[in-house]
Amino acid sequence: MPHYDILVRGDPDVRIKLADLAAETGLSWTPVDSGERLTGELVDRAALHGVLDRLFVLGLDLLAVERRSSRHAR
Amino acid sequence: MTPARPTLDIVRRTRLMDALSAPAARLIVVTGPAGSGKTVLVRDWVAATGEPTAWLALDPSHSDPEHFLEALLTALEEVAPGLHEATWRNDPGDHAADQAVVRAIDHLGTAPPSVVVLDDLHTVDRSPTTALLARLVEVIPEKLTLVVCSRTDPPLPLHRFRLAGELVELRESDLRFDADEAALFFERFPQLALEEHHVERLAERTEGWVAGLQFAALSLAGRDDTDAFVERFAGSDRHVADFLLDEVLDRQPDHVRDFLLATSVLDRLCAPLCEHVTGRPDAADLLRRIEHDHLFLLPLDRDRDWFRYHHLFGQLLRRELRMTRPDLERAGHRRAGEWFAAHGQPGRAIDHLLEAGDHDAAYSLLTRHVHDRLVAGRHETVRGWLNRFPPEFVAERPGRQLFFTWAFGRAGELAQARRIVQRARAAATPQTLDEVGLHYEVVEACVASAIGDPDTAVTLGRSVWERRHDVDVAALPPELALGVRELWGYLPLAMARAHAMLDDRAGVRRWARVMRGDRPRLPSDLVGILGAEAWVEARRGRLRTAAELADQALVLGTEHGRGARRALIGARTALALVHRERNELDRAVEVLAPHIDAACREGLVAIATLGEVEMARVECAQGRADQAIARLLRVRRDRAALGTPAFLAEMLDQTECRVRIQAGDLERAGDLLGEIDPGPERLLLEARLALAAGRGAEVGPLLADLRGGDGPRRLEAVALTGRALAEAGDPAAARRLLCEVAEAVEREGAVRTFLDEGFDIAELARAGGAAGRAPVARPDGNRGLVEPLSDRELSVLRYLPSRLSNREIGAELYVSLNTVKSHLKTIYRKLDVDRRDDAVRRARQLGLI
Repeated sequence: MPHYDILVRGDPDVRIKLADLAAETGLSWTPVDSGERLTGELVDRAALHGVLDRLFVLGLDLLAVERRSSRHAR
Repeated sequence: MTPARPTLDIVRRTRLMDALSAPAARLIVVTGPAGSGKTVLVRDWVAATGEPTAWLALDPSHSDPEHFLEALLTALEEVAPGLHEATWRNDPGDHAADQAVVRAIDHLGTAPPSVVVLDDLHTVDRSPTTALLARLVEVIPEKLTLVVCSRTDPPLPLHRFRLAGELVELRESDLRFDADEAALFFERFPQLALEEHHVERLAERTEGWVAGLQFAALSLAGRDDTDAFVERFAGSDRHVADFLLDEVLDRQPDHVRDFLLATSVLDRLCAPLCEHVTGRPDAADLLRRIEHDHLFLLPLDRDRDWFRYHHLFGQLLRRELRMTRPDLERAGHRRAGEWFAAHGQPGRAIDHLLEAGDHDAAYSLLTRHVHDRLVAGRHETVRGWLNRFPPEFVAERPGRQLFFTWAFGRAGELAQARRIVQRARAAATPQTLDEVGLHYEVVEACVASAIGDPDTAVTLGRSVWERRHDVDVAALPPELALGVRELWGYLPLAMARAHAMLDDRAGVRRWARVMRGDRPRLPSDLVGILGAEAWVEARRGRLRTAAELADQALVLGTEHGRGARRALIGARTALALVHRERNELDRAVEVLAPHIDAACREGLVAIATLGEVEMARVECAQGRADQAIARLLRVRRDRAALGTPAFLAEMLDQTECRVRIQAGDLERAGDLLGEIDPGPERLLLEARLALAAGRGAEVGPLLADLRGGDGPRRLEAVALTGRALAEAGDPAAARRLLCEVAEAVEREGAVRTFLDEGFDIAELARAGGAAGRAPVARPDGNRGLVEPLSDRELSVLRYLPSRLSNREIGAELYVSLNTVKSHLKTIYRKLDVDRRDDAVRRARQLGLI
């Protein structure tokens, strides 16, 4: 299953939204220097696009999406 | 629509059907790319279960949550007849769509087990409808199974359902046809005479993508080079697109090919519509033939009256049409627009006419039907239409410009309304300005009011009103008269709101009389006027009057339905202020907090900001100063993006200064104080800061004038001075001062101001001035009752004057019918009444509502 790192712009309001999103998608969320990072496995393209749609609706700025194969995931 | 029954020759996918029938499934999500067989699978499954099924095929028009909800309720009629009407009756006005879902679900809970299918949910991704869906899923009754088909994961808490074992997911990998299913699939095409290795190879090359298999089957018909074809066939959608056109479309007879292309402009098809669009009297026969030949035509209803093309196929047809026959594309849309207009579907007609580029016809329909849409709360739809007209069309005539500014404003796009007028002014000739300059000023006055610049609004409004007799609407050309009538009809509400912001009660009442004297353009205008009246009364400390006016607004909003929801925000803000002053803090949050964001999104920036300020005051009173500060900082940032008028900036400064003092951040409070204009509010803040800094001796002289005044500022001045006296060791002087206002405070129940300074003013009044600096106690509106009503009982009580049924009250408060009945029983007992009407009367006597 592919593993994704999704980076969004940090903001005082972002963390509450990300905590909810992480809980609902099963991803984990950690603050990093360049913003906030959602990370975890997503089963297919539909799941990835679902998360990206949610970020859009929440008004979060998407900075980067990186796909890694499972064996490279931490 | 009633789901169409599957055709007999589909491949029954037993392994997937079994998965869908898992007994614990409450939410079923089927995701996969276009052409992966989602719809066919679910349709086959619901037919096999035999359970009543509501089927809603979504398209982008359902991005408007009101339209989505109407369509959903219509679909739900299949499983619960009469539901649609019952749900909209006695609509609560604010956030109607959200509440209607709750009521619908509540009603469905009494229906037999049933299935609700939302097909093509991805078409409403990233729209306000998604928030509504999330609500739907939260309250879904156990007997109802929700099935979602989408190309992307829906915006629902899937993980929660997954952990609870209530989710069934079928994904792209599940939907792929394996070799056995591919073999079953090709059995439907016996004329192809494929061998086993051909089937295996095609399944492999298409990766089990059923649309690819179907394209291959259609292409293979009549060929004798099967081996070569199979080797050459690339099953991905990118390659299949070209393949489809070369191998499938070009091999159709000309009349079928032309029919497919011409009708591809339709997102749903029926024979009469196709006849009108193509001019072919044999449209019904052609539709039957296309369905029979597996040319990607899907029935939408059980009677097979309505169809749609498979999305991918339709998309390819439209692309081909646009590239080869753009004239036919426009003509098709135009004729579809004519047909829908003639068949009572102006919304679809406007969509097609806009696609055809026939802006005149679309505009003509829009002007006739925009009121209906606004009354129905379909602001999202109206915004969508307005934004599809090219700027040059709008700019062509002054009458259009005025209509568009009005419509954009009504639909919540103030920036667009302002932009149109700015452009119009920049391009206007002296003659144009002479003809319509006055109306531009009306627009500018209305926009100023909405964005929170009341001084500009009042100045402009007064100026244009004095010149109103210069305008003879009856003598104007019809197009100009239309815009003029709408704009001037909206002006009294905009002006009343502006005067309310300036605490000018006389101004509010004057414009309210104007509004009531004329026929309001929309029912929501009356709701808005009541909100302005309630606000100005609340600011003057006349809390009882304010509460009555706000209640009237809420009831009126209830009666007038969804379109009135925007206007209710003023009444809600006023009511929150009343509750805060009465120290009913939870109720203040309940009545206002959930509604602020929606009001702001829909263009009521000024009132939404006042609502945010009110919420910050409530949070401060609840001892959550940090939260209040965070809220104010967020509002500052959001408003700055649009440009914050001085009035709102001042209001935000004042509130933040007050909260900072309470939080002990005196340095920042001092900075903010420096930004605030001289006046009563600044004096009160200076006194607060002095008290907090241990300079209580400054308070008495600072507030001497305000203590001699009236209204809430006098009360606040008295409370602060009383505190200064008490802290200086003279409680008797404090008591004497407080006794001067205790009766007035008691009359309106405005106790919060005194509680903030540590005085239980209600107790002081009861004790005849002997209480002194009493411990803080909870005052309430329950005086006169042997046993006071609880907060929840008071919440129920507030709905009794409305026409809501007990069940509907339960839906409003998110409790069951039985809980409401239980509360009512207790309320009647405590009020010593037997009936709802008597309870309302008694509660009003006691000032509880």
